[in-house]
Amino acid sequence: MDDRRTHPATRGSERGSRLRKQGSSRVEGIVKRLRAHPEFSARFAVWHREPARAGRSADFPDRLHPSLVRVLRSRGLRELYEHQQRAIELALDGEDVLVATRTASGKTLAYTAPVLQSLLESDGAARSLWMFPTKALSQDQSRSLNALIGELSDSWHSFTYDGDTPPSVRRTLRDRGHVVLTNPWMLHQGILPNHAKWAELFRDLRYVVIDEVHTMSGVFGSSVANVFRRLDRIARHYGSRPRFFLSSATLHNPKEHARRLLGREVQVVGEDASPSGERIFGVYDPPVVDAVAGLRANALEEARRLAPLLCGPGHQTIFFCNRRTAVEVLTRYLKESARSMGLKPEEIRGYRGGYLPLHRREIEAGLKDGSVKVVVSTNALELGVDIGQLDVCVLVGYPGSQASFWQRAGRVGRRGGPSLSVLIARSDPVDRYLAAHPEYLFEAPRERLAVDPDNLVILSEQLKCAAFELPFRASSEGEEGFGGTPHLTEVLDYLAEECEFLVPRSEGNERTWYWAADAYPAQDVSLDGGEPDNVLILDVETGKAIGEITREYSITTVHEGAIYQVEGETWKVERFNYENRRAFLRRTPTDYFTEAETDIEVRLLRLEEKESRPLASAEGEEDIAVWRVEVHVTTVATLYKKIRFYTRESVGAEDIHLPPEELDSEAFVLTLSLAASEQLGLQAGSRASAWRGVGRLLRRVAPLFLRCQPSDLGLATEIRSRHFRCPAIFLYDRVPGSVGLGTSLFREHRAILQAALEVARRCDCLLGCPACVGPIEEVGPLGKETALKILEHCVQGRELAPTPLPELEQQELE
Amino acid sequence: MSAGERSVRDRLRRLRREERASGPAADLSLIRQRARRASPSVGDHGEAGVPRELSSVNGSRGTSWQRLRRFERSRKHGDWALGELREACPRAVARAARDPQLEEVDLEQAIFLDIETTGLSGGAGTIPFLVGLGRFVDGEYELWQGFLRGPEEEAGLLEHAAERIAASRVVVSFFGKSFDRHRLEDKMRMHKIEPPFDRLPHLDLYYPLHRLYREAYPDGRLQTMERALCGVEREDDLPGSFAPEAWFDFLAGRPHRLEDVFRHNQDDVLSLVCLAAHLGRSEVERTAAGEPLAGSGAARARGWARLQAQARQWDAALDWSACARERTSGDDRSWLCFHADLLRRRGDAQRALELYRAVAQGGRDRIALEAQVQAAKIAEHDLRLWSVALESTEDALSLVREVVPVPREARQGELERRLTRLRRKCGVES
Ligand SMILES: [Zn+2]
Repeated sequence: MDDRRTHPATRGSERGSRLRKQGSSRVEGIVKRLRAHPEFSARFAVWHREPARAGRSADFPDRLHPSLVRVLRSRGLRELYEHQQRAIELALDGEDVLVATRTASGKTLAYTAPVLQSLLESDGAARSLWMFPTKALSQDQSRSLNALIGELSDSWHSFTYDGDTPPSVRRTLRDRGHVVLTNPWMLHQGILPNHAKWAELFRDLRYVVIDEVHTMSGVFGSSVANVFRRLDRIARHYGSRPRFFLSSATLHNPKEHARRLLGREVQVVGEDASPSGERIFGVYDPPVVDAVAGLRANALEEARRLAPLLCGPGHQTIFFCNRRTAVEVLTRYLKESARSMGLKPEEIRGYRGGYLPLHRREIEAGLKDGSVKVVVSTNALELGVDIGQLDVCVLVGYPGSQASFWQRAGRVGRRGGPSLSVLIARSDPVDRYLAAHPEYLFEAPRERLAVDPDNLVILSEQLKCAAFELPFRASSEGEEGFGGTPHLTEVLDYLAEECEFLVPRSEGNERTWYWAADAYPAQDVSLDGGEPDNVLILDVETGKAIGEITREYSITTVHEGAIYQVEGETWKVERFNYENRRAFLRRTPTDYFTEAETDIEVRLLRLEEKESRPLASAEGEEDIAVWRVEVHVTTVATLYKKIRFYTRESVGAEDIHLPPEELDSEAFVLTLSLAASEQLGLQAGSRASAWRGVGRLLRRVAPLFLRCQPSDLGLATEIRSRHFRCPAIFLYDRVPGSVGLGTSLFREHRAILQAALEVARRCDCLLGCPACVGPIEEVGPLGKETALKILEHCVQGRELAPTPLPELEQQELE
Repeated sequence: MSAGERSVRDRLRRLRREERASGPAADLSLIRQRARRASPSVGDHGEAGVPRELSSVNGSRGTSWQRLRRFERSRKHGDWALGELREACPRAVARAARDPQLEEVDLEQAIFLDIETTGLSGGAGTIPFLVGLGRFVDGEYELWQGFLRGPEEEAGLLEHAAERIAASRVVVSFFGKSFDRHRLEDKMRMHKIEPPFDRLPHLDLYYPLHRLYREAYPDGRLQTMERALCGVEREDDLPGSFAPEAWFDFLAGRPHRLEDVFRHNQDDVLSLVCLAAHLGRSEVERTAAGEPLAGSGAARARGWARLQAQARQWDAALDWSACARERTSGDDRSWLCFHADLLRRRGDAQRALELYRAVAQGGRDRIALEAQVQAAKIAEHDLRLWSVALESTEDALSLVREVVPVPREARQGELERRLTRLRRKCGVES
C-alpha cells in the first residue's frame, strides 16, 4: 500500500512494485559496497541509521462529517495517523494549528479535512484561502483538492489564483471559489488591495492555510507577517475571524515562529506518527588534495566518482546541487557515463527552475512511474511537488539549513525498506563542522528563524499597503492594533506628514489616516526585500539585463573596472550609474578578477543587552563580553585589486569613487578585555588579522544556529574599538532596520563560538585556509594559532552571565 | 537627547534614506509622487478653500456635499440641445450597443454617470472624490455633483449616488463598464452599500461609437468623439490626469484647481447626453430637425454594415455596405470581399462570384488569394460550375506560392485537395 494517507486525493501512483522491492534491497547492497570499497570506505566519516518506525494510527474523529469520511475511505484511507487526528481535532475545536512534521507525513490531509468539514457544515458557505510558497506547489495541490471536492459536491470549487490566471476567469473565481489557492505575492499585490472584489471570500473566510512556513524568515518572513496582519484586518472588516492552519518542516521552537509570523498563539503538533522504513545516512568527506592549504577535492567531482555506486537500473537516485550550473554539469557527466551504470542516458534527467512547466511535468511523471532512474536537481524539487518516494539521495554540499537538509533527504524512503542519504561535504566551514559533528543533523533542529514584523522599513512599507486597503482609525485599531505593533501611530504620522501618502482626519474625537495618493503601493513594495532599490546589470551592447544586485553590494561588485562573473564568463564594468541604479558591462575575457576593499565604520547607537564574565586570573577585571546593540554602519568602497585567477597574485589596484553606504541595524558584538587580550598575546599589528579571522569564521558558521546565509551578516573587526576600548568583533544584520539576526547571534553565541573552535581545530590545514580562519595570505603565519587560542579561551571556562549595561558607554555614544 | 531615545520618526527617516543627498531613496512610489508634484502645470493656479455652490445633505451614512445645477432642455452643448435626446431611437441605440435590453428603455429616464478619482489604478485606496450624475427631471436636465470634502465622507456620498442611480432605468457612461462602475461598486461593497448596477441596463457609449467610427478617428476617447460628432469645443479644459493632484492640494489646504475639475466633470456629463442623442440618430443619419449628422459618413456606413451583418440582417447590411462604397472614393478591395460575402449570404451567389473574381483581378496579393478561394467555394458548392471553380483554385494555388511565406503547407495542401476533387468532377462531367 502506498502513501495514501499522505496524498489522499491521488490514488497510490502505479509505480511498478518490482522497482519498489528491488529499490529497497538495492539500498542495503549499495551501503555494503560503499563500506567495502577500498578507497571510499575510509572517506565516509560517519554512518548513521535511524531504525524503521511503525506508524501510529488513529480513528477518524467522531465529529468528522460522515460524507467526508466516506469519501476518504473510498480512496483507500482507512484510518489516520495520530498526528493527523490530533491536528484535525484541534482545528475542529477552533484552534490555530501548526503541524511541524517531516516531508511525506500527511500534512496536506490534516488541513484538507477541517476545510472540507467547514464546507459540509455550512452547506457550501464557508470559504478558505490556501497559500503555498511556489506556483508549482499550488497547482499541484489544486489538482488533487479538486478531485476530492468534486466527490462531495458538484457546486463547490477550488481555484488557483496566480499570475497565470486569465482575467476572464478571475471573476468566477472570486465569486465562486470555495477554496482559493494562491501565494503570498498574489495575496499582497492582487487580492488584498482589491478586497472589495473578493468580498465573497472574506465574508465567510473560515480557514487560512499556510504551507511550508519554515521558508518564511528574514526579510521575506518579516514582510509576509505584515501581509498576514493586513489579511486579518480585511477579514475583520468583513466580519470574519478565520482560523490559521500552518504546516512546516520540523523547526526550532515552532510556537515562537508562528507567534512572530501571525501574532497568535498556535497549537503545535510536532510528533510525527507516520511510519517510515529504515533511514541510512552517510557523510562523505572528500580527500585532501593540498595538505598545506587544507584544500579538499571538489564535491561535484566526488559526486561523479561516487555515482556508479549510487545509481543503477534497479532503483532511483536523486542528486541535489546548490547551484543551477552544477545541475547542468553533473547531469552531463552522468549521462556520459550512463552505460557504465547500466542506464540509458534518457533515464538520467536534470531538473531546475527555468525549465518549461511541461518539461518539468514530464520529468515528475517519469519519477513517479519509475522510468526516470536518476534526477539531478536544485532546490526546485525540495518543496512539496509530488514525485513519489525515491531510494537514494545525494546532497552535493550542505544546503545551508537543517530544514532544507531534511526536505531533501525526505525525498527518499519507501515503506518497508531502507533508504540512503549521502552528504558530500565541501571545503566550507559549515560542511567541515558537519563532517565532524553529523549528530547536529539528527538531533532536534537548532536553527533560529529570524522574523521581525516590526522592522521599521518593512513595517512602514506594509502600512502604506494596509492604509490603501482600509483607513486606520486610532481607536478601533487600538484594540487589536496592527498585530500589536508598538509603532503604529508614529509610522502613520510619519507617512502622512513627511511622505504625504496619508491624510490624517479627525472624526469626532477619533483620528483616522486615509490613503491619499495616486499610487498603488503594493506594486512598489516587494516581499523579498531590497527590490525597488536594486541595481540592474546590463549588457552594454544589447541593453539586456544579465543580473541584478542589491544597492548595498553594488559598490563593491559593479564599480567601474570591476570584473563581474556569470557562469564562468567574465564581464567588465564600463559604467556604473549609481543614481539610476544601472551598471553597464561588456563581455571581456580576462585572466584576473577583482576584489574590492572597504572601510567599514561602525557607530554604536544604543546598547541593548550584555553578558560577560570576570577574568579568572585577575580579580575585578572583565574577561570577555557579548553585546546586543544598535549600530550605524558606514561602508566606503576604497579600492579594488586585480587578482590573477589560480595564482592569486595581485596585478594592480585602482581607486573606487562611490558614495558611502549607510545602514542602521542591529549587531552582535564580541569583546575581549585588554587584560584578557594581553594574556592571549593579542596586540595590534599582525595579530589583528587573527582577530579578523575569528570574526570571519564566526560569520561562516553562524548559519548552523540561525537561518541565514553568511552574506546576510556584515562583519567589522576592530583591534581597539573606539567604543569598547578593546578588541571587538561586530556581526550585524545587513537588512536595514534588522530582522532579528543580531538577537539570534546573541542568544546562540556560545554554540557558535564552540562550532568555530571545532572547525578551526579539526581543519587539516597548517596555517589557515578558506575552510577555517582564512588563507595564510590573509591571516598571517601566526593567524591560525592565535585564532585558535582566542576561540579556546572564549569557549573554555565559565558561561557568561547577564550584566547590567554600563552607564559610561551609554554616554559615550553621543 | 540620548541616542537610546531617538524617535521612531528619526529612525524611519534614516532607514528609508529619504534624507540622503546622495543615492536614491528607498521608496519608489515616493519618487514618482514627488516627480508629479514637481510638475509645473499644477500648484500655481487656483485658490484655496472649499469649492463654491456646495450644499450639504444628511443621510444615514453621514453628511455629504453636493453641487446641483439645472439646465434648460434647450441648453446647447456643442451643436446639440440637451432636449434633443428625446428624438433618439432606442432601437438604433440597442443595435449599435448590441444590447437588446436597451430597446425597452427610455433614455430620458437614464442616469448619466462620470466620476473623478484619485487614480486610475483601481483597488481599495482609489477614492472617487467627485461623482457626476445627470438626469432629466421636471422638464429640465439636472446635474448632481457629489463631492468629498474628505475621505471620511465617502460612505455618505456613495449612499446618495447609489440612490440616484437606483432610481433611474438605465446607466449611460463613457467607458464606465470598465472603470466608473467598478470604482463605485468596489467602494460600495467596502461600505456595505448595495451596488445598484447589476439590475440596470448600462449603455457604455465607448463601444458603439468605437464600432461606428473607429476607422475615422485616431482614438476612441470621449473628447475626440464629442468634438467630431457633437461639435463640442472645451475651453481651458483641465486634463483628467490632474484631477488627483487638485483634490490632494485641496485636502492639504493648498491652492487647488478643483473648480476646473468640477467643470471638466460637468462637460463630461453633458457630453454623454449629446453623444447618446447622436447615437440614437445615427441610423437615420439626420437630426430631428432634418440636419445631416456630423461625423464621418463612410465610417458610419461601414460600421452599420458590420453591425447589421453581425445581427444577420443581410439586406440592411448590404444597403449600408453599398452606401459605404458610394461614400468611399476608389474601391477598397477588402471591403469588396466583405460586400461579396454579404451577397452570397443573402443568396445572390452569382453576383458574389463575379465580385470575388473582379477583386482577384485587381492585384496579386493576399486579398486576391482570399477572393479566389471564396470564388472557388461558391463556384463549386453553390453554383456547381466545376471549371470556374477549377480555374479559381489553380489561380489560388499560384497565389499561395507568390504571397504566402513558408511554411505554407497547410494552405497549399487544402487547395491541392480541392484541386484534385475538382479535376475529378470536371473529368466526370466531360
Ligand atoms: Zn583550515
